[in-house]
Amino acid sequence: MLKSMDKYMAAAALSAKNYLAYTSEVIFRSGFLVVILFVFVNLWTVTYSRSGAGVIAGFDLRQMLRYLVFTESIVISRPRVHQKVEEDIRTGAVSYTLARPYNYLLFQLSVSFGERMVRFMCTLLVGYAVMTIMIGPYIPGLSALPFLAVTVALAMLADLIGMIAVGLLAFWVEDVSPFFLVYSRLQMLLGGMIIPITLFPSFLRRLSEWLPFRFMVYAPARLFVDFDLNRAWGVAVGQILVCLLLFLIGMSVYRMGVKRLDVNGG
Amino acid sequence: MSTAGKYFSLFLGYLHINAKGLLEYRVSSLIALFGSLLNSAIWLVFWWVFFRRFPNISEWQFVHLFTIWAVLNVALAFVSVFYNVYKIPAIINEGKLEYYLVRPKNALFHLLIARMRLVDLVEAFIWFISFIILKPELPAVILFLVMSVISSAIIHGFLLILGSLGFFLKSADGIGTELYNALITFSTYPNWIFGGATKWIIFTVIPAGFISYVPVQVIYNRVYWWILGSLGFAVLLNVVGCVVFSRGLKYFETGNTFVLRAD
Repeated sequence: MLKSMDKYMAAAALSAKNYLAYTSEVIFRSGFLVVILFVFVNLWTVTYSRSGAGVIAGFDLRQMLRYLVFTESIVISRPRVHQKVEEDIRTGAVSYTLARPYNYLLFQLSVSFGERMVRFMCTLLVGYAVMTIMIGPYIPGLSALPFLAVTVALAMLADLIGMIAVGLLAFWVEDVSPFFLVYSRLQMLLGGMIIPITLFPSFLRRLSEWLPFRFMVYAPARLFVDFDLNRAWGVAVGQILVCLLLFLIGMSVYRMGVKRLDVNGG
Repeated sequence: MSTAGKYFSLFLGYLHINAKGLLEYRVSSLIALFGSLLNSAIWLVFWWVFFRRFPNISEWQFVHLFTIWAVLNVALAFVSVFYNVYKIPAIINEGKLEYYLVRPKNALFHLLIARMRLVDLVEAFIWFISFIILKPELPAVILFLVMSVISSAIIHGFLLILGSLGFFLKSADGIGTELYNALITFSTYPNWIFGGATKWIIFTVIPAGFISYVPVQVIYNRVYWWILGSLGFAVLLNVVGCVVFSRGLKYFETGNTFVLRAD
């Protein structure tokens, strides 16, 4: 089992290595992240100050801002793997992969995961620099770092599997962008990217708890600002289940799609 | 036919062509419309949650945030009638400008109207109706339209200046995109969250204050002198944009890429 995973790990490592060549470009093109973080710092500083509350929805001001750095870094680092899958299906390139000794979904997952790890480190670096300048440095406990690394990796894997599953809908439709739009916007709100889900009214919070998005954004970001070992285990278990569930859905969609694949020409 | 008549006729011609394009690609247009509305809806839910949790945080309420989103979206739809204003650096760099230079019409005007994103007008209509439902008072509706038009002129002038820098800077496209994104981001937040130098920046370098704070002042507090102030600023930005573009044309040297039909 582990041996058969070697090729996917190699693909992820190669993708990360390739993308390392673009790190300076990613950092210099992070203007939007800087602007949005600047706006968030202003919004929440004023909100905490005017409301007179020290803690809002379980976060103090610094935790709230660090939470937003983390959620933005996770989401902005997302590569457009759904478009790659869509293109493979539309151009028929997916048919060449059928004969190759790998699982198409796992291969796309590995390549996009390698790229995303590099992008995430770059965006987190920029966000961290902005926050350090504006509210001071933050160093999470060293004992928390291995758990954080695992939970971030699982969050990204879950998200990437979801994106690939959306891309696989190209077996049936010409353009998957509306589906991805719904996926990404639901993640933005109900995943807790722009606001922690603990701030939601009860019906929205219940909705968020029923959907997998909070494991992709809110849960790892919450651990980043307020680490708790028991919660970390719970999050990791939840994330693994979400990954498995999404993978099964993705593989079912892929198998159904491949059955109706009809390639013309050579 | 007078010169103005000829230009108006050209405008109508392009309007007709672009409207046919909209009908031809109606599915992708509808997808774009759906996407834009969904994005706005998600942000409005964020603000609804925010003001539900902090109702007394300022004199602003959810209705004010809805208004600035509505003004911004209607303004962006009007800018979309001159959609190439977003593409000026690319048009210069990809050899598409020459097409307009050899035509017997003002190159800037011709370039701006050649491509329109008319589906955005459908979105503007939806925002306009939503605003009427929100505030069914004739003066407020008229002021809403006035401020939307002025805001669109401000965004257009801002984009024209940034785009015309493409004559002088190879990286104008990237810089322009970053500044435009900053303008849109700042425009969707209430101005009272900013202090110090940022308050000045949003009324000068990145004129988002004219698109968010000013419409609320005019529509809800009836501070009418702001209309003249923002109108003057809109005219200034567009005049400066035209000057930078014409200076850039003098500086411009054609490359070896020649595109027969640009859009």
